[in-house]
Amino acid sequence: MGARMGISLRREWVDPLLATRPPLPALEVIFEQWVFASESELRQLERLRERHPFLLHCLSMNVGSSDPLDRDYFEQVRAFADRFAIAQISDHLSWRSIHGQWSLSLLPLPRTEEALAHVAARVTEAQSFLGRTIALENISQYLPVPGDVPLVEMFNQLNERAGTLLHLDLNNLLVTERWLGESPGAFLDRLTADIAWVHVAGHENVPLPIDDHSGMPTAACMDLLARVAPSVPVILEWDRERPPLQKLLPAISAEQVHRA
Amino acid sequence: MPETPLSAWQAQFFSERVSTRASGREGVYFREQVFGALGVLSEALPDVQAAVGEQNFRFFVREFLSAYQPQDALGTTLIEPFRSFLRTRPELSAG
Repeated sequence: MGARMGISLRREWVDPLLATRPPLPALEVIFEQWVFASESELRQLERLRERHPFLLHCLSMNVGSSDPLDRDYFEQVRAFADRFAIAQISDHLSWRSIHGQWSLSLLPLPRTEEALAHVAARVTEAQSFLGRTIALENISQYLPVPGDVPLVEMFNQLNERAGTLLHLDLNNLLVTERWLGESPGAFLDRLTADIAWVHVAGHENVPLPIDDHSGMPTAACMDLLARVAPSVPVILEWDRERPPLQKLLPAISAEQVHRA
Repeated sequence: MPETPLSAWQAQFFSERVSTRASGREGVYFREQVFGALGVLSEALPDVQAAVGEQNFRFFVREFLSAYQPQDALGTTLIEPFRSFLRTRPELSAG
C-alpha cells in the first residue's frame, strides 16, 4: 500500500518534501491553493514536479452550475497545467454559484436527466478548452435532492457521453452514507466509469460527520479501497489538525494509514 | 443565461440552504459557509485574530461573507479578499 499512496499537497509541506525526498508515487496539487503564489513559490513547486507526477485538483470549475463557465478561470487552469506538465485534472460533480453568488461548499446536483445533460455539455466544452479529459469527484452530500437517477449512473453516463472519468472519493461515499443512507458498496457494484484516481481520508467520528479530512482514513474506507484496481493512483487527503509531514510519511510507508 | 428548471432549483436551494440560517440537518450548508471560511482564515491569519479577539474575528468573517462573494473563494483564495475587506474597517486600524 505504501508504494501506491501519494498525498494531497499542502503548502507547508513543500519545504520538507524538497528536503527529505520521500518516494511518493504522486502528489495532488490543489489549483486554488496556488492562485496567489509568488513566482519563487511556483519555482519551488517546479522542483517538486521534477521528482513526482502531479495530479491537478480544482474546486471552481463549477460544471454543475447554471451560471456561465468562467473562461478566465479555465485559462488559468490550462496555463498552470501546461507549466507543470500535468495530464490529469479533476474537479467535482457539483455546483458552487448561482446568479453570481458563490458558496464555499460543493453543492449537490439534482439527480435528473436535465442535470446530467447540462453537466455533460459543459464538461465537454471544458475538456475541449483544457485539451485534457476531466475527472469529476463524487462529493459528500448532506441533504437529499430531487430526481431518481442513481448517483453512480450519473458518473457512468458522463463517462459514456463525454468521456469524463470518475475521481473516486471513498470518504465522501462514507460521509454521504451517514447522512442519506446510500450504500458505498452499491455504488461500487454498479460503477462502469473509468477511475482517474482515488481519494482516501478520515472524518470526525460523530453521527453526522462533515467532509473535514480529519485523521486517518477509517477501516471502512480502506476496505472500500481494496475493491479498486491496484493500478489506480491513491491520494491521501488530510486538512483538519493535520500532522507534520515527518509524522505522516512514515505512517503511509508503514501501511498504517487507517484507524479502527 | 435563460431560466431553466435546474437554474430555478439552484436559486431556491442557495436561498434556502446556503444563505438562510437554520439549525440541525437543514442548516448544514449555512454552517459550512460560515465555519469553513472561519477555519481557513483563522488558520491563515492568527495575528489578525489575536489583534481583534476571537469573537470580533468571527463577526468580521460573517460580515465579509455577506458583503463579498469571492469568485473563486475556497481555501487560501479567501485570504487576500479578506485582508482587503479588513482594511476598509477603521475599527481594526489599531490592530
